[in-house]
Amino acid sequence: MGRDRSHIHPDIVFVSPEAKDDALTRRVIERLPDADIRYLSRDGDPLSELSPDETGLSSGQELSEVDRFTAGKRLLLLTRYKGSWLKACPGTSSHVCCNLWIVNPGEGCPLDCTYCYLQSYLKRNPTLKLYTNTAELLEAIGERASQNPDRLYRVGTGELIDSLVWDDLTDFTREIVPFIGSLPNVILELKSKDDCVDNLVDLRDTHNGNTVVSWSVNAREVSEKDEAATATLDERIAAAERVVAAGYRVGFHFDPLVFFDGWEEGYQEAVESIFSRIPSTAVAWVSVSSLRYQPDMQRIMMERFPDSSLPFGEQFQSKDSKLRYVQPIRFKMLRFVWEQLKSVREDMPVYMCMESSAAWRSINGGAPVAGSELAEVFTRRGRLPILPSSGPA
Amino acid sequence: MTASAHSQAGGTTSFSLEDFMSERRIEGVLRDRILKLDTKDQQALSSILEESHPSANTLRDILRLASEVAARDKISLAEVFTQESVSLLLGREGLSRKDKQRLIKKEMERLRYPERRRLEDRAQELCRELVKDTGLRMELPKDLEGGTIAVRVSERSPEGFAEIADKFNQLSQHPSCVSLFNLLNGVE
Repeated sequence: MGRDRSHIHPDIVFVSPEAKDDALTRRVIERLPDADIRYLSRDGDPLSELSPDETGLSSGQELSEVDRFTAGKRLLLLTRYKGSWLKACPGTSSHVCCNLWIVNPGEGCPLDCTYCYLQSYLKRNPTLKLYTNTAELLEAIGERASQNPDRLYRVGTGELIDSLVWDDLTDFTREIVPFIGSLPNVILELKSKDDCVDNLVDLRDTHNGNTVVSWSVNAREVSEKDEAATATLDERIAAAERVVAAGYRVGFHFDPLVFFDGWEEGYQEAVESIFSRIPSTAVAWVSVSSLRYQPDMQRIMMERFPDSSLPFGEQFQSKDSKLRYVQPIRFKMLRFVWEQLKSVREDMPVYMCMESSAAWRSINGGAPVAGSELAEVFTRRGRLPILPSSGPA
Repeated sequence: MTASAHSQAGGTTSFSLEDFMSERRIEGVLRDRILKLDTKDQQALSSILEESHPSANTLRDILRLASEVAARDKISLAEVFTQESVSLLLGREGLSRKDKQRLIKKEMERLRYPERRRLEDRAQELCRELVKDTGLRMELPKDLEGGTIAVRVSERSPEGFAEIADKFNQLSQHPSCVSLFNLLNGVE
């Protein structure tokens, strides 16, 4: 079930020496029969392993930064991660933060959205990566959770990679979802723009209510123009319907809100499309946030997506150095979508991601408070309610 | 491509882009960029430079803004520089070169950020109304970012300060004050 995803599968898979015998490596290779598999003799940048024929350059020429990033989208490196797995989300300075913890089972994304910050963040290291030592990732989460049993951890895997985009190759959710289901104080958020949920549906009896599956969503106008290889809004909603039927709670992230002619109708339609099919009671949280990016992203977007209007928004450089829409525009958009969501259900748990305290005051009347519908997002204590499975997917 | 003489009015003048750049010490990337423009773009730019004589920094800003407008609207740089609003500015009598530099840059900002400029202009208009009606001068947050508006008060006597309470009361009920906060909060 779900869409055909062969167009996002890599052309070349590089395998680092220490990863070659790992189970995840074997699984990925087995499921990519048409990919060119290359075993590396040493760690390093696989882009430098490409022949001039493969890069389209003559010997001695070098790929531009932008071309390197584009080339990296067709390459996948299977390797082991050697750093610290669990990190607090860096958030952004001078803005209200939701205390999410992050683990990255890989790096880079083949979905190639115009506004994706990875174009700047990973520009020197653009090859897509999957980490094969996932048992260590789970161990790190388990260790942290047991050290602070009274604390509630919300952990997300969707910061440097889409949480579901490779799941048809890796079955990673088959490892992490039951594991998180066994922990009393961890909520896992799988965040995606894809519809690859077959594994999640199969795990209906083991997620134990501890996994929230969330989708980044947008107005169709934005999704169709600037989210090149993602599942359509309808495909994402269909995937959400399937996981709700399998007893998961879901989340939606209206992020980034984009200012375009007809944005009000566009976002209203997106909210209506989602909640005409998804019961609001199955929603764990919804976030809203406006388009923002580092200044160098403007040039990158102009070069990589010359038809996009996103580099030419009504922005200014804010305190955290990112380009954001000027406040009256930003607040108008945030308020509009916020009110659309609240009109679906008054106590819908809606929060703003990386927004100023002024935004919270203006739109919510103040910062999120204990005991409100947002307690689960912002609290560091508590447990998730367990939803019963509501029927076959 | 040579930077030849040009006048937007149609006649040839003695203006030379290369001479202008040497005189204003426009060098490096900016100079290369200008010399790489195609003939029409260069001619349109020359008209602006001839009329306003901007510094390298102002020219860099004007060129960046105009290039972004051109890329966004899928038009040439020449089409940006020859928009009616720009031509009217260049032809306006009684304006100094400094005025023209400032107004051209402002016009490029308006073309690049039409909604932002509209909001900024509207905020200024509301501030002017408040000064006129209450005598109180508003200080808007930088870039319209943040939830507070400051008021600068200066008086020449203790009695003057005594009158301020009335002025603030008047201000708090003034429709333009409400509109100003609404504008900042994206309500209107």
